[in-house]
Amino acid sequence: MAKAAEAAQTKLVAPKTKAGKRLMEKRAAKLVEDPKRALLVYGNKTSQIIKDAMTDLHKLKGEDAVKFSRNNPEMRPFEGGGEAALELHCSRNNCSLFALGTHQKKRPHNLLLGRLYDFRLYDMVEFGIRQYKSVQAFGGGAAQAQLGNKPCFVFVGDTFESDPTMRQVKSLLLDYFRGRQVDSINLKGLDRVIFVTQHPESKLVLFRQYSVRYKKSGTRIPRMELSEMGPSLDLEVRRSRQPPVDLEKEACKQPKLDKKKEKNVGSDMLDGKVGHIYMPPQDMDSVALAKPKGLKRERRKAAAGAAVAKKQRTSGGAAAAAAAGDGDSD
Amino acid sequence: MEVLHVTGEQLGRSQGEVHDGPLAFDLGNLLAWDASAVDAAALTANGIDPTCQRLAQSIFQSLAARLFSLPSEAVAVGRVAELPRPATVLPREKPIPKPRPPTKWEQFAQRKGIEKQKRSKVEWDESSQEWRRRYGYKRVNDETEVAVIEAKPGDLPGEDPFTKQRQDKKERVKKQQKQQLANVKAAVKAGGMAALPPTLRLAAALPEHGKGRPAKRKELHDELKSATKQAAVSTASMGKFDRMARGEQPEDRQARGKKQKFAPVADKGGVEKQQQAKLVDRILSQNADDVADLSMAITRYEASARDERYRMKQKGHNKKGRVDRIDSSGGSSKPMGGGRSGGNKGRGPSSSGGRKGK
Repeated sequence: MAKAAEAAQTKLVAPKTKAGKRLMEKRAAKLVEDPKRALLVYGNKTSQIIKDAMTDLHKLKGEDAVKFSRNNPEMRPFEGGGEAALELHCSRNNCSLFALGTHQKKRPHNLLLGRLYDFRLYDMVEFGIRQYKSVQAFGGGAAQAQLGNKPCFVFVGDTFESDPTMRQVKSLLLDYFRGRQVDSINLKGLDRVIFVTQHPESKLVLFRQYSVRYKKSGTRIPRMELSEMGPSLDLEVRRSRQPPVDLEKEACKQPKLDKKKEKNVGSDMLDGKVGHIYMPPQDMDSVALAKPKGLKRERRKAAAGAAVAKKQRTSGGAAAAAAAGDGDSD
Repeated sequence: MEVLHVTGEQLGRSQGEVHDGPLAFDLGNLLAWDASAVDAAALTANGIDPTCQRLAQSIFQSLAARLFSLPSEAVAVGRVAELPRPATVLPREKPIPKPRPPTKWEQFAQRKGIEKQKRSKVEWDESSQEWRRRYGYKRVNDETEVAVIEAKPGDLPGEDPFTKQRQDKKERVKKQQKQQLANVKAAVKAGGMAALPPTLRLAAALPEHGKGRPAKRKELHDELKSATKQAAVSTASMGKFDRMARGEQPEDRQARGKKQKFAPVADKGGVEKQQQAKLVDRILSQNADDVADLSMAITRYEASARDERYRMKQKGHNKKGRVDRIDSSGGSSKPMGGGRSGGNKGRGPSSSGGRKGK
């Protein structure tokens, strides 16, 4: 009876192209993950401040961000079922962070930062931008800081431990800006500092970013000089959603990492990282070279001449044979 | 002799100011955290931005000091410090990948102790006197490449060995795909969707053409029954003279559907006459202009009058556009028609109804 009931069939769907297969392998789950990609979208209505803020966030993320240009009125993560569109676009673009910018009378200059786990909504915090100064407003300070480098973080305040929402804010900002997970870092590349604190009276989250200049000091450790490079945000914390407990437990599980021996990688004092490329032996006499296009006509004529000569030889031979045959018959 | 004391500051060198206060470090994330409360007074006194900058500078100086004291090695582009593991636990974006559970063959091999043999990629092909690959394009001992296949004693005369080769290959490929699907399904059953290889997905599929079966037992039973009935009647004599199967009833053999009834040739009891008369009456009554039914005529007139009154009342004025007096209830009263009760506002069936004329 059970066998008769098994009419629902399953089939294996494999990628049809090699490029598609490579893409899927790139997006697969890994032990040590790639930096989280961010999806930046606008909601139903936007304001100029929100647009500028999103542009800055997009630039700060560099390659790891996707920004949509249109308004998306159907994206309402705080409503039940309103996160479906967001989850869909994030899974299509392989993004696990999102920033949704909207502007309403009730919630002006609203910036919703959130995360996804396994492309399902994990948590989010809603900020209202009270004061904003873009990177461009600070002049050329940003030119000193290179984009691919990891920023340093400075958090000040005891609320980042005591208040669960502020703990979430700290975790979110760290996740958004931290970049790739690395084992070692070039000390020359410490050129950005992100400073976050909470104003004790107004409860605004103050977000500042500085670029670093190294100055001489008498010791091995140089003196750091900071100059503000932007963006400068004063954020009011509005709504937030904590992650579901079971999802949080699963997402925060860390894998056991063993040092994997990489093959064919060595390092040289002069060259740096080296590897070997193994080639099969090539026969230089019969290697296929590119044909020079300039000599096309000559080649064509030569080929035609050779064909004619060949024909003459065979027909001449046949004629000679025929003549001999006739001669014989005669 | 004078001794000149030069300070570092005079030379243009100075160490950064060190931040006082408890600092928590997470060097793996390049993070420094001051857990002491923020001084509101200091913020307002000196301005928010300068205070933040000074604070950031001092704390970052301490962080940099820590980072520079990590074990490092000199590289061409600078100095590379080895970072410890990040201390702050941040949620992952995707689940931890699980190793694929062993396939049916792998389990068997493990049990029997069979080890994988490393085979060479190329083999010597005697016929073409060259090194050819073990499988794939232009492989060693390709059985499809031969021009002539000699007949074996067991071969049947009509069989084509080349066709048989192609069919065998197709069957082997089908078997392989079926086994692969079974392995993947077993892996998903054991480890969930995370155990799937990243490039493969399981999707719902329609059954092969002609091989689908209904899922529910009742539907399957009904389908079988209807199929057997149809088969029973699908003979030249429509199942009338064929042997009955066990459990089959003569009713099952009867042709289904509408049966055409033929009346007897001789009209017994005037049945045909009645049918024809009925038909003629109906046609004539439909097309007749002189009214035979007075009662129906009266009802129709009253109904139309009622509709007219209701319409006028709703509009609030009469046909000529003049507003009626407010205290006139029920609008203009007509001589004909049953007296409508004043309170009857709805358009429903009138309580008095039409007077039936006889």
